[in-house]
Amino acid sequence: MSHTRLDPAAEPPPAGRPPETEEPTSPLSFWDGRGELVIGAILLVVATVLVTGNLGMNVIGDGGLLGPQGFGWFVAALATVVGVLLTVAALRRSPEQRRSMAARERTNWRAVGLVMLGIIAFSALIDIVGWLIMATVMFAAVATGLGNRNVVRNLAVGFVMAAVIQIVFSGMLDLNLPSGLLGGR
Amino acid sequence: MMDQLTHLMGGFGDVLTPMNLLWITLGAFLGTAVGVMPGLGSAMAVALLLPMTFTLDPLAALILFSGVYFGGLFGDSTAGILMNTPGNSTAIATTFEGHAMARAGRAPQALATSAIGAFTGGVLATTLVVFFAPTMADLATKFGPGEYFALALFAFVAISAIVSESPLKGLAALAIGLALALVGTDQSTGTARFTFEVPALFDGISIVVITVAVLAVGEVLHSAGRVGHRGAHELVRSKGRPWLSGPEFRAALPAWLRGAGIGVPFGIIPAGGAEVPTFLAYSTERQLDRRRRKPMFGKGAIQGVAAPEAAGNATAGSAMGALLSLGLPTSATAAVLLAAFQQYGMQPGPLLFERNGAIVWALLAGLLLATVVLLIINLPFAPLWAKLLLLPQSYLYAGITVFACLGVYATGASKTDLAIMCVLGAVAFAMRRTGVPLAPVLIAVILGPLAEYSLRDAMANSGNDPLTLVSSPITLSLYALLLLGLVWTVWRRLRPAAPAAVEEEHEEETSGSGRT
Repeated sequence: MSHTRLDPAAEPPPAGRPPETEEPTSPLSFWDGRGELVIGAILLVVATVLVTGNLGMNVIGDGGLLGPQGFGWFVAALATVVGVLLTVAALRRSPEQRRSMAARERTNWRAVGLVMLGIIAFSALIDIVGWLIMATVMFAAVATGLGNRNVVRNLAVGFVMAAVIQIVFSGMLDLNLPSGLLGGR
Repeated sequence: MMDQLTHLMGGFGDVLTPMNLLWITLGAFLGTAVGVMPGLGSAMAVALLLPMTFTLDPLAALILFSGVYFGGLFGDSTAGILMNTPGNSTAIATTFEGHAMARAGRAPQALATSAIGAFTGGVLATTLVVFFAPTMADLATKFGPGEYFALALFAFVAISAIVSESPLKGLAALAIGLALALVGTDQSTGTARFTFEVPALFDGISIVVITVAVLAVGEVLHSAGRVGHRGAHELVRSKGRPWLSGPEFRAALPAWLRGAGIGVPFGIIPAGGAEVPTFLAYSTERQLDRRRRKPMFGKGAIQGVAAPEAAGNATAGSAMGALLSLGLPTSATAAVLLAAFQQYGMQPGPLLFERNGAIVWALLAGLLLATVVLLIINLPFAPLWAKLLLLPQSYLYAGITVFACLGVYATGASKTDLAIMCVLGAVAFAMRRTGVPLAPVLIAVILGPLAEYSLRDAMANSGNDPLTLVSSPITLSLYALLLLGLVWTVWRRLRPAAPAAVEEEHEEETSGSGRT
């Protein structure tokens, strides 16, 4: 999605500033105060997946009246109806309501992006790079994203935590975490 | 009655080993800690612990989890009273009068009232469960597929449409949860459903992955999104005698009991946890206060702290009863606990008392012990717990993320699980951002299969006669209750919202940490 309404660079620094006082002056973009559009889209995607899955399903044997597909049709219908209603409600909202909603929905996208990136990187690289490095990187990414600008210390704290977890889990609980690059293979 | 006492004594015998006492204490400490810290809830804590307790024996893990469950409700009011930031949505009702008491220099009394209230509610409800859960389980053995379908449907509608702030958003969450539950091999025909040729999906999406993604990853992303938008809160110093004086105790005692009385029935209704009963207890006390000669509400009324706290823990106690005897999770935490039972191959429900009786009774004994331990570690030390609020948020959430990923990886070392976690975490973030409740997702994931297969069984058993669904007194009364609930919801929404306005305002403010 392209969220143009909030320029992350213009965000106030993370600290106890009195929030959203200058809000009403900024012009409303299409997405402002319409967070439900995302939920509506998710529901329609869910419905599409369910319908595609049901149509292509290789049904084994006789499942009775509803069969393996019946419930899928029902959930697809529910998701479609709710998704459409949410979308309509979001599009019909008055500018005043949208302004107050937008104030509540204000989001620091840079922070969210950094945290999400850390988690995705961990998920993608854990097997290759290994637990120790990826957990450290992810910890630092999340801590930095949440407003802690001391990256070196974030990395250090993350490393200690990752190492302790590796020792506890491999040593005591017999849970092997991948060593990856540090494995010396 | 005597039977239950003998069983309970046996339970105490099982649970009173040094190791088990250690687990209870650990659970109590962890629960209080997650309760105190805003944004962390007992559901998330149990979800994060689930993958790490594979190697524990079932009883140890379950008493640890229930300690966390109750502990979360003990600790949640601490931050509310001292900082006006409730640790959880269940503590919002306590916060109004609790923080007023703290500002008036009575913080220790407010903390003590809340701890004793949580204790009273927990002990009363657990005692009721000890005596009535076996009877309820007996009743439930007569349940056929029709009854189970009605029960699941009741839970779905109650949690998504009746209790939720916006029925549409509740239903959105429900649909997402039901869709997740459909993935995997169909139990009755063996057909692969919505697996899209991915072998890792044949067994369905693991409940651990879903709970961790929805509760932990979603929460971390949500608080990242709020960086820079949070107001600063000041910690009120808690000094002075942590005891209640005679008159204070006499004022609080009836409120504790009334609160517990309000909380107990809500545990067996799938109302998504303790928010509704805590608010109900709060407004009851406010009504009673208006009739007094010197109304105290707004200035720090002790009853306004006592009743909601007792109601919250009473709800948690009877929710355990509904979970154990009917297999019906009535809150997000109960849903995660049910997943914990399943992890150990036990199915909560009518047969649990027969098949795993020893563990159930030990668990109930453990619950009673846990409330005592919680009272001991909370009553005098609540101000110490408040020090946890000084922990840097950035490290706290980074740690949660590491544990979330560790937990998901530990369940199967599977890339698919991690990918699902990323996607669901993002979905949960979008939901939190728009105020879509998360509890219906978990309830739907847990009860979706029950609803589907009992409906299909009912149809198969009756030759596709839809009337079989309303053919017994139990189903009829469940549907009647459901109808009543819907009528009440419609009536409540059409009525001009005068008396509830204040509460809703606060709810919206704090819905950032809203979860059971």
